[in-house]
Amino acid sequence: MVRRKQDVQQGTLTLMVLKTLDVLGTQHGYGLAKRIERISGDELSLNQGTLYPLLLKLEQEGAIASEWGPSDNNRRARFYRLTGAGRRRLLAEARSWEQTTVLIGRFFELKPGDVT
Amino acid sequence: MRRLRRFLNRLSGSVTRRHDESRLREELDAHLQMQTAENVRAGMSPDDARRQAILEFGPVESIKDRWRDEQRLPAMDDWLLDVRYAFRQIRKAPMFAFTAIVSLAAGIGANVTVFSVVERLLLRPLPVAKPHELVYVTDERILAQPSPRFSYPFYELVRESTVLTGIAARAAQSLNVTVDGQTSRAGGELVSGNYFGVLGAGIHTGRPLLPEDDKTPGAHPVAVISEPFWKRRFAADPGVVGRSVQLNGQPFTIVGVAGNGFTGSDVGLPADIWIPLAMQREVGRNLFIEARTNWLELVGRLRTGQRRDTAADALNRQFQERASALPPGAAVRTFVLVPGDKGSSPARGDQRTALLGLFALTGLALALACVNVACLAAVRSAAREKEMAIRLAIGAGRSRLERQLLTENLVVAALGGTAAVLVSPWTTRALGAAHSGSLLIELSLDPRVLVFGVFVSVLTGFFVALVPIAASRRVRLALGSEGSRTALRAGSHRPGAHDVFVALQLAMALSMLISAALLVQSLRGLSSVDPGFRADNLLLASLDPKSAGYDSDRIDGFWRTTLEQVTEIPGIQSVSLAGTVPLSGGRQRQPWTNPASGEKIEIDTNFVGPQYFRTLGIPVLGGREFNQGDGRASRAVLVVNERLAQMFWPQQDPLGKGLRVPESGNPAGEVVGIVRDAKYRDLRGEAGPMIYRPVLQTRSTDAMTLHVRSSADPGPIVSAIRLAMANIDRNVSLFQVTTLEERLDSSFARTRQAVLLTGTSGGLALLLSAIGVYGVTALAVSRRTRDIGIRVALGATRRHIVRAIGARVGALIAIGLGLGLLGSFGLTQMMGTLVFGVTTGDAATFAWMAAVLALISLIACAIPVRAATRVDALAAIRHE
Repeated sequence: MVRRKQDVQQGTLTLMVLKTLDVLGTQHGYGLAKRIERISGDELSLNQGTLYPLLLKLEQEGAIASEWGPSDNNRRARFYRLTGAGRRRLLAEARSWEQTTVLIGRFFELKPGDVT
Repeated sequence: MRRLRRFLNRLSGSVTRRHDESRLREELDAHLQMQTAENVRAGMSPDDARRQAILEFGPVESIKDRWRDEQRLPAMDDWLLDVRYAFRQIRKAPMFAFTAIVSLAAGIGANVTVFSVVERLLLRPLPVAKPHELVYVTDERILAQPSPRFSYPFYELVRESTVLTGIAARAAQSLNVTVDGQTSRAGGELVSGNYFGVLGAGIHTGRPLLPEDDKTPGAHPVAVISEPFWKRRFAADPGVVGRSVQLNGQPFTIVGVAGNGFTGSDVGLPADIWIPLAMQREVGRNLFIEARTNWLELVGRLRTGQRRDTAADALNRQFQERASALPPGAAVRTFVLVPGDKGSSPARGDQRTALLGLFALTGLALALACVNVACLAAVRSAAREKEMAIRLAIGAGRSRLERQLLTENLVVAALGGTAAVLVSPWTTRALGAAHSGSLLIELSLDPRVLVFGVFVSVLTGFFVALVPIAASRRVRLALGSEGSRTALRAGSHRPGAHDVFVALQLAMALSMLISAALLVQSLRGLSSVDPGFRADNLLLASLDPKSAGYDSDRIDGFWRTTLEQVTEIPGIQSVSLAGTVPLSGGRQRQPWTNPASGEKIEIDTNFVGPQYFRTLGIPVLGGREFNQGDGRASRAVLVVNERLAQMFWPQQDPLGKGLRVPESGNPAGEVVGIVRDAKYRDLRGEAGPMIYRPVLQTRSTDAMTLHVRSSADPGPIVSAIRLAMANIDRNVSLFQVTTLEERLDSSFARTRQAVLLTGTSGGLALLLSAIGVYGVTALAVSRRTRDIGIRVALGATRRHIVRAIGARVGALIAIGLGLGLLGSFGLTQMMGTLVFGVTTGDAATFAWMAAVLALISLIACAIPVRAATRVDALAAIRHE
């Protein structure tokens, strides 16, 4: 059976990355990709590589910072962590996301006859 | 904020060309290894594990691309590449680039220069507090004069008004400044005590002039100097306050230096020194009670929020009530307030029109320069058609190609503009000086000028780029058939816009050069004109005995003593006096009755001393000169010039004839001499009739000018004369000390100005039109290379080729020169009074200038035509 995976919506990956880093603290790129896949319950069709340009973009914007460090198997890996600006941005985006959800939810609850 | 941060990071990535991919590669390797290791742990074979890891990672190259783009600004990268490529193009065709850059630099430079002067004189607000509140207090005469002036008694009355926060008065007064024994000329202003306060002019050091400095006539020898003058003359000496200087020979103390580069309210006539109006007599004016002489400019400051028209109404109401307090002879006025935020300037009014006209002219010159460069660019793009086609063929987008061409032209315009802006401070100073001799524009780059230069350059770049971009659109990939058809079509004899513009340039250059040449001839004509007197080694110095308290009874003795004492000074040949000095602009007229016709007529009348004609070098044709004996006790005598003699006593001997004063009918005197006509008003045209009367026979105490003829340069004897005068009476001072040669010289000033302006713009136009002719010919040749090749192959000789190309360019030159001749007739008509001693239709000048221009045009077109004759038939045909 082929399971149909959800494509990643524009902008949501950013939110996922920020939230994951917020919860788990410092992570390297591979770890981040694995966590996101696991949290999404493998519902997500994600090319792991696409994470890297996004991480660079977030770093250029100052939301995250990165440095080299040793990985579990003692290789060199790049570790990313959330900055203060990133944390504030996460809060703001989470709030706006919730508002959107609530709003869209109301439309989905509409029944014929609710609107006159 | 975060967009900005990202942008800056990417920008720095682009500019530093940091293409650091090692980091991504290392992260990528680590990622794949970790994934492979996990897959192996999950039971896959190592090969499968690796393959699966890569699959999950996604398309590596596209991810790398996105990563790279994220690091830099792709658009910026492309643009930097374009700029680099543009510079390579310039290196590849240095002659083309050089001509283009010089052409644009000339065009942009002319505009930047004129803009600088316009900005300085017409746009820049005065460097004072709240300049928008300043108003010029003028009256209904403002319709006829740029800045109506008022008399001192009138000012005293208006000053009391409380409608405005204050009204200040000023008058320009040029001064001889002596510092440490060194004398030089400086621009000065006589100002009321509240001048600095009303204008809100800041002070750099010391204090401004205050109302207390303007109370008692002669009692406040204080002066404030301008910052530029302080730097120029005192080397910015911090201890300048308290120093003593001599102004027109009188001691003054410097009390302050004005701040913010303030040089007075008249930006066209910058002031170096300000002194109180109370000291006017000390520097040679005595107009405290004179109600008929209007000489003061009035500046006021509106109250906060006050409107100009309501203030003017209030001022008029208030003034009407006081009009009775005015001294007799003063006119009652209706006030008009005009904005004073930019100061007044002689550049306003007709000179403003001239300046804006010049601006329009340089704008036209720049447009023509653009057309030239566009024409050259078209030549280049014809040569580059192949390159374009190849680039299109290997996949460059057309828009990419167009952006490239735009960048190339922007770079050329930017180089031209940079050159223009860098030299603009000097050209601006030169133009300022030509515009008004006393205007010294500081050598600095104004930000507004800089912005203007950048704006004009960018605009120029865009405009010039249009042509090659349009040309690039015509480029087809299939060079073989389409390309040659384009070439054939372009080779037709249809006149294009280029040709029209080139003809216009030639016309402009010719008319400017003809005007300049005519003006130069006028200058030469003017300096060879016989004015009727000898101007060399003649010193002039004015004396005002009335201000020292002389009355009608004592005046005679004073003049006699003065003449005697000054004659004693060694090196002096002769000395005399006169009320009217030639070419000074002043005149005195008296009503006389013409005995021939009986009509009353105003005749220029000059009161002169003994030996006047000998001193000035005016030949006595009959009778005698005035001498010491022509005093009050002897009978009244007159001397007339030829012109008057002819008018009053045609075909008669005027000697011994008598004249009566029309009002009283009393005898005014008997003619004892006839002298040659001398030009007092203007070197151009004829001398007018003139009656000379002996100063020693009048009871007038008016100021007189001492005429001193010396055997050598009169400069060194000035101090001797000063000393002699001090011995006679300390209270009488010399003012307006100058030489007749200086007067003569300044009467040429306007013509000289016009020569400079038309000469430089003519030179500019000449340069542009030479480039234009070169460009248009080169364009024709390059478009017809194949055509020429075929002709040569069919046996055409060089002469045939030259004729084929030359016919069209020759016609163009002929049309341009024809238009130019027509234009110069118009232009010389406009200059009317400036042109002198040559008829405006001077055929020789017109012919010479046309010949010069034709020669230069021929040289300019010879270069590409020569190239055309060397076209190798085989190469030209194969080329297509």
